[in-house]
Amino acid sequence: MGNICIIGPRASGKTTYLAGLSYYSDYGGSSSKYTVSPLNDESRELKQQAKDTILNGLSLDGTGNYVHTVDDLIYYSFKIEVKGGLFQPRSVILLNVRDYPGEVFENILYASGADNIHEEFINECLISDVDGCLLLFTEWESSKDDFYSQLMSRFLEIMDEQGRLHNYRLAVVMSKCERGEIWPGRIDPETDLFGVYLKKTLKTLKKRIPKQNLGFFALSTFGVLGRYDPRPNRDDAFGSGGRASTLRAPDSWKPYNLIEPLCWLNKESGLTVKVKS
Amino acid sequence: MVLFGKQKKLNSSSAPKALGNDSVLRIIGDRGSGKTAYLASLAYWPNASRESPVKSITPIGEEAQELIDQARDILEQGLQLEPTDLNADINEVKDYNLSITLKDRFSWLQGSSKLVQLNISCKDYAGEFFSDLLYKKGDPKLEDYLGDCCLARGLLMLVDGTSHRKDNEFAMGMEKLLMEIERSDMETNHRRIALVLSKCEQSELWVNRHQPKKVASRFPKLSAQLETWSQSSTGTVEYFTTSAFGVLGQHYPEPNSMRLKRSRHGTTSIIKKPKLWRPFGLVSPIYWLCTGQRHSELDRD
Amino acid sequence: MIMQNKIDIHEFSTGIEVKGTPNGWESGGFTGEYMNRTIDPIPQAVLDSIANRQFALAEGVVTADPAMVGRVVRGYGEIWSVVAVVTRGRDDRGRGVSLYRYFLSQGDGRIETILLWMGKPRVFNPFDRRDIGQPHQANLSPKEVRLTEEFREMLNQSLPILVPNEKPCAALRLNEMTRNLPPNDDRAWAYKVAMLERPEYFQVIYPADDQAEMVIREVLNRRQSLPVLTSGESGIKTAIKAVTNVRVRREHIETLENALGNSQLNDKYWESILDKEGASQAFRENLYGDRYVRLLTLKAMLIPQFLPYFLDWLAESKEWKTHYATSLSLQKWMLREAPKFTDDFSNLSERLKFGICYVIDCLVDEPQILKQSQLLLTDSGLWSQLYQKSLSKELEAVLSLMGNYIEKRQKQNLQSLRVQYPQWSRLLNKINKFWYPPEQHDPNYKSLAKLFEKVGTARLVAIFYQIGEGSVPKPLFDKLSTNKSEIVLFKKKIYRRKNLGDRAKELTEEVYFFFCGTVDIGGINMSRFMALIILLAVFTGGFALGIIVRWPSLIAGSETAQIQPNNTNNNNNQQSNNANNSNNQQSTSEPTPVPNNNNNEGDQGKRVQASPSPEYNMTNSAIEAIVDDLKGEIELQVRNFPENPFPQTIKDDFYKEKSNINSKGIVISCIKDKLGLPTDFQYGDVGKEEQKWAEFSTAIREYQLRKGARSILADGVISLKNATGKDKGQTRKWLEEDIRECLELSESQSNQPRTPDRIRRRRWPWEIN
Repeated sequence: MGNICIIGPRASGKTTYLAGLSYYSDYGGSSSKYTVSPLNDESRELKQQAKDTILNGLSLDGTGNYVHTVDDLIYYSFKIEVKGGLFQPRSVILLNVRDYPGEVFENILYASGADNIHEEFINECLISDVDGCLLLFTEWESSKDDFYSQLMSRFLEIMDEQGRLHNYRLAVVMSKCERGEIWPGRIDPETDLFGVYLKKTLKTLKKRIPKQNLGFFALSTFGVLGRYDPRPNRDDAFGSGGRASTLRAPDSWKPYNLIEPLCWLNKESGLTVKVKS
Repeated sequence: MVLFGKQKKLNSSSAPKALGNDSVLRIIGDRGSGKTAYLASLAYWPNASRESPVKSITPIGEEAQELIDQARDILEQGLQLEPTDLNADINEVKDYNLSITLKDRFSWLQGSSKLVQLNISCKDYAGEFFSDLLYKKGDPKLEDYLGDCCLARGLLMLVDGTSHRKDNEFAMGMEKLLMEIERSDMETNHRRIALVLSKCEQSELWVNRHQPKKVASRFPKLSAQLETWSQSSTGTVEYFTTSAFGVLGQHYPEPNSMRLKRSRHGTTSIIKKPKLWRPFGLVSPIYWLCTGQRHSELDRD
Repeated sequence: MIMQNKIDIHEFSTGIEVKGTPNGWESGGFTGEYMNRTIDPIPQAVLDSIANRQFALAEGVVTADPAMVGRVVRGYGEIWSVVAVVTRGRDDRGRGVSLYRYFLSQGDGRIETILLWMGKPRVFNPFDRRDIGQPHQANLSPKEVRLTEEFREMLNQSLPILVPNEKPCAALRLNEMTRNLPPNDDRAWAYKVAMLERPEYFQVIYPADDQAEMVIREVLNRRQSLPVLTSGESGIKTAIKAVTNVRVRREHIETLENALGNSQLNDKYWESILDKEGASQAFRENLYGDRYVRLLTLKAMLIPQFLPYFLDWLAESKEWKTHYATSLSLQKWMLREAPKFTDDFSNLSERLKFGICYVIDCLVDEPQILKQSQLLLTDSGLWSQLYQKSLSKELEAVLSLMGNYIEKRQKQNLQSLRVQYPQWSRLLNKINKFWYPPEQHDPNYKSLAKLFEKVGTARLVAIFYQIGEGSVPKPLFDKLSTNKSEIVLFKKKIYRRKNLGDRAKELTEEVYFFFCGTVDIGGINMSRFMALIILLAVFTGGFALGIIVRWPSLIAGSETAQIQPNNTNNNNNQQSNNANNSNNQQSTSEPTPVPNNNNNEGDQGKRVQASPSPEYNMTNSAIEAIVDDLKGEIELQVRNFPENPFPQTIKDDFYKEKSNINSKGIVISCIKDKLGLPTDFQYGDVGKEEQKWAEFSTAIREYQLRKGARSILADGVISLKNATGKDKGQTRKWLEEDIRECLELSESQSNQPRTPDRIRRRRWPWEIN
């Protein structure tokens, strides 16, 4: 329960993830394992947008387009109620999410110390009452591994500067897992996705972050067409504002693993564990 | 002739017990941190819950009555309070007097319905005072304010929870103030400073409202300053989260505020649904400032 | 000539930090000082008025057009015409800020000039820099503003006049309206305002729109009862705040001192201004916070009648000593700020003195404030300083004067003493009876003795022990005189208290005297012992019936003096003795004050020729008592309102001479009025003619019945309290009340601590709302 951020490179599907998350509970009805209630106007708007984008293919603008200062960053605020399973109790997550423009994340490698605005952005996501972040990756080509790995070491440095290295949870997520090449790897993402495609990045992360504060997830907002038809349930098109994806078969929309990273971040654990250095 | 002593009222049993007789407070904080809104909401005490340990809040005198007018005519109409004027004469600063009656928290133990009363007088400084602390030196007006501030045993430092980027400035201002307090020749009275985070209806603050220290940690330097002070002197510091406007529902805690502006100075907003106006946590810091004890019931939603 | 027609118009604006924005500017906060000004310093009267919120628009309400406020401000020997133009700006926190630009010109009646010079409202502009000493120059070109009939009619409305929003109206016209109103200290109008913080401070208001009109009307209704503001109030308020915050400085005390000198600011005013800080509330609800202790201390300083109540309020708290310490530290603080308090602040000192007088007076009936009073006069606070410095001597002087006058039967001087020391008149009225025989005492006065004992003024202690207990404790007495058992103090005998040895001696003496004293029986002197034997012989013998036939009247005659009923309750009222004793030609010792004047009506009651009925005597002495009770108030009334103290029905020759007020004549006129007797009814005849008395008595009876007395009690006699009358003095009380009403004796007088009923929840005379 608390404040988290969603960061990740451009077009890693951050806003889409949030939109899918908020809309699916309505759309999926009883098949949804959770319900999401927006707690502010921005969240309500996002939910409304989700309908337009995911179903109707209007593209979401890049988040960076309207964000000039950190104050323009929107806090989406949700109450997520996860239905209890056979052995799981029902749980409630109050979630405040800040959706960072991808540029901010990518720029941490190049930003100079004098870039106040940039610094503010990063400070903001490491501020003490933010429990952790959802780190979204989408490109798995090995050529990207070097870049991500450098990015992460810089990010870890900043975390360290802010005193958050040992009390900040990182849910590292491979998004858009409906893609055929990586769909099978979703079961054990740490080994089969990160361990295979982003080895260096994985190593960097595991070296510095306490084990209990680090989680690996695979998720897919669009999902696949069916249990026995693992083709992506997604149509890519180029809409008015650039790339836009919509559901290929809206009727069988079944996103994968949207809620799990949040549940993991929400679990009371790593935050209280103090690591002796 | 009925003489005036012959009909003594049943004094000891029915009258509320006054706690902390000398409850002189000062409310300080940055411009726009919500000082007047805090006091106006406190005095107005809208939509009081029956379960609340607060039985009643009564304004005393004309100025406190004006607070209620402000709450009713401005805040409740969904309008904004204007900035409090910076008076040239410290004695012209509005001094709000309120009498807060609480149900005794141990009443169920004693089987009586004893009431506890807090009689506070609280001066509402213009926010300029706090920024002047930083940038002005030897200004006679500032000296007057400082002197007056030192008269109070309880300081309520109100900080807009979303103005954390000004942590540095706040810490510096507080440092100056603490120095001044140390210097003032008032007998080493036990002084209390409540660091009160305002505007906690904002969702990122609301989630942690029951962990005020965690919210206060958004201001690491300011908190550190206060901690150092409390360790090195006879003063104590405590942390609180409050919201003048509150949230709309208990299960769906949407802020009951409409944001007009957000900047590094914090958040400016107005009440969204006046009918559902229920402030949060306003009395708790005052209780602590008056008694030195934290009343856990007052921190509840 | 041309030069003379130019007048200076100064200006200044709200001081803000100006911050540039893409679209212009915004406020970065107040500076606490005025900017863009042409005058330095800004006249204090204007600053006071601003601090009083006399220009303030209410918050939260935005109007597009600039609003204007015009006001003539007086104070500190100056008059300024001020026009404020008010607009709304923004600050860097996104809040709306009211920004004021003031224009001012010295003198009354310059508002018009400012408006004409300004033309369109000159609104707040932070960049319109001005230099000090370089005011605007305007031509003094009077322009006639005509009020149409419509507006003229509005002038008859009660103030403030709300000009309906649908009527087009200019600021100049509002100003003209205020000029056409009956002259008044303050002249103020507001133009196109959405809401004012204090609309009751204005005379003419032109609301910005319909909504505003409604809101202003509503607020005015809500505040109808509030007292009207006086100029200089803000200074007083600041002083009061300073006192309650312990930050009082000499200039604050000066402000209060000067305000006390202003006769317009009566006790009601002080009540209400202190109530604005919560004085009555704190008193009623027993809020003993330090701030309230200080506030009520101040109230007790400013309103002397309140001092006993303040002490009683303290007495109600278990921790009253701590609270009094708070009060004392304030007093000491004030003494430190003003070491020569009594010399420099005569008005305040006077009030403090009067307060003590009230306390002393009150203490007789309210012994529970004894301990507080003792502290008040002993600890080194303001009151005690005053008491020690002058008041104790004054009281002693007054007492000895009273003693002298009583001894010499100088009634008139006694009265003028009361007039000269009105603060003591109540006490004098209460205690003068102890100077008259028979010797009596009243335990209620013990508390006064105890008070003075603590304070250490031996003579006062002694006299009040005498009054309270009938004797003075030996150690105390010995301080005054060691070898006597009685001395005369203030022309009153005081006795040393007898200790056990004295008592034993006394007893033997009594026994001895009883037997050895002589008795005068039937002109024969013989010892009592002998007389007893004779009597025994007479009664037991039973043979000398003839003697018995001759003697009973003698026996009875010698005993009347001892078994008269009034002597058994001699504590109470010597007048009742008088009523019955006048038969016995004891009028030489008659203590009832007899007005020494030439007026027939008042005078004749005394000269009883035929033997009047006892009912008449009782009634007459009751009337004398009423006169006695009311005399002080009547004299005060004449002093306070020398022009027209009483209604027309009272002949003015009763009080034409200030030094010789015929209270009795006044009272009797009222009684006649109340009893429904014709004005030419001569009260003096009542004692002489049976028929007149019957007429008078019937009138009394009717009056009693009118007042709701049971018919058995309506006896046609006015009796003294607790005396022989059937109604226990009820008729007298009724009459006294009616006379007060008839004479319009001001309420505060009749309600002074004489009846300080413990009425926390009742309304106090000085409490409003």
